[in-house]
Amino acid sequence: MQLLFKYIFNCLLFIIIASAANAQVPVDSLPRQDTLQVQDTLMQQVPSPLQDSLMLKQDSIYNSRVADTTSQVLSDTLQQDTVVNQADTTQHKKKKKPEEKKSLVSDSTISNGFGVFVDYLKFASPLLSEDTKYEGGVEITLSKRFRMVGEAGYGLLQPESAIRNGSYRSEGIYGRAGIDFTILADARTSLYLGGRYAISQFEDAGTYRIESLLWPNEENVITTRQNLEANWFEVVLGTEGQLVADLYLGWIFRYRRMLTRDSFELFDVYSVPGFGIAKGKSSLAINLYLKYKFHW
Amino acid sequence: MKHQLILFSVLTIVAAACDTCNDCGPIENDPFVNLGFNYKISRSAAEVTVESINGIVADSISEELYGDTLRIFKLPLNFNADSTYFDIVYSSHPDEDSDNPRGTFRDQIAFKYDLELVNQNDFIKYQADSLQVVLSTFDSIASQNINQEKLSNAITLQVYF
Repeated sequence: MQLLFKYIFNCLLFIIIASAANAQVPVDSLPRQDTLQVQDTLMQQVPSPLQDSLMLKQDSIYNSRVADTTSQVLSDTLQQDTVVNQADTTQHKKKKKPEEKKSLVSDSTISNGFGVFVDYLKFASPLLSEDTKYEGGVEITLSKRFRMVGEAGYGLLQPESAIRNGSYRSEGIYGRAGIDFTILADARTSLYLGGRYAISQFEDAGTYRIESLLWPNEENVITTRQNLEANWFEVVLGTEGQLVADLYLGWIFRYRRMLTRDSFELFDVYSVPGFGIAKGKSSLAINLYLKYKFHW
Repeated sequence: MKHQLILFSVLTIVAAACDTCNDCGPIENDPFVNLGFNYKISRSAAEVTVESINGIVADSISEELYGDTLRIFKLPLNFNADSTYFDIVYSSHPDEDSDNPRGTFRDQIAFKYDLELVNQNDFIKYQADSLQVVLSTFDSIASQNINQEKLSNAITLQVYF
């Protein structure tokens, strides 16, 4: 039954994420190539001296602010052109509306640079449970669409559900490395899909108590098992939005699939730092993060 | 941005509230044997009141007073040893018009078994298998499943008094 609830929750979560992605990214966002084609068409209708000046500005067309300015100049120029007949003017007015929408397409969110982020929810983990977790990472933008991501974290997990008549703890560090592919982006938000390979090194320990009304109780300690290792891969879907200036707020939905881990017969590893409960082969997780981007 | 912030708030609450449930119902703590009481005269099931059970091991006696009235009693096996000797005091209350014995009775029964530590649904406990009755002062014993079932908890012994 617990598993069923978990799957229902996961399905709902996926729906939320899907709808959020649609809400955050304009559906009519076009690739930059299309934007340039529209701008080229408009340029043909601009007088030559002005074209030269505009061509210079097109060198920095990837900068969204310049692109916006260029579009504004083009728009103003077209409106002031007295040679164009009334029919043409009507055509330009019809084109003006979609052009404004296209100017929203910007690469500013995926401009070159690197970012540093922390999972702010994990800082609150001691308040929410007996666990202690910290996680952060860095990203380096490789191209307009791809970025390399490295994440590292620490976890002290003490799930109450691990041993119902005892206690369990696992503690260790983990790291993840992977690549994100930006699916959609506008000036303030982006949606991305990515993959990670992760490895965790940890130790665990536990106790159990067997009680009886008639016989002496038995309490045993499962001594610390050190140098345990687990590795897994993740598929991530995330989105982030600009909070202020270069500060971004985002969340990542993760599907994790265990590849290998140390296991034991009677008292198996229950939770792995960075992966979570490791009873099954897969787990789901959400990270909420705060990111600061440095540009170059 | 507004949508984004609302979504973050919702996800934060959901993530915080989502914890693994560890309340999945009771689990029998001890390995046990089901003991069914029967009248030897009528060969019918008896409803008895188990007054006390003394669990006797090599150097000590564990006593627990019960006072439960029932037909089948779960007799907890000692998980600190591979054998258990019980001294059971019980009283019978048959119908007035029956020939079944009335009063308080005292019988002993002893078991031998193999213990194994198991993890059942994240609950660590002992289970006993290869159960054998090595001593009994009851009039007779009939076993159900003792040859088919390896685990003690699945075995019911019918004792006659």
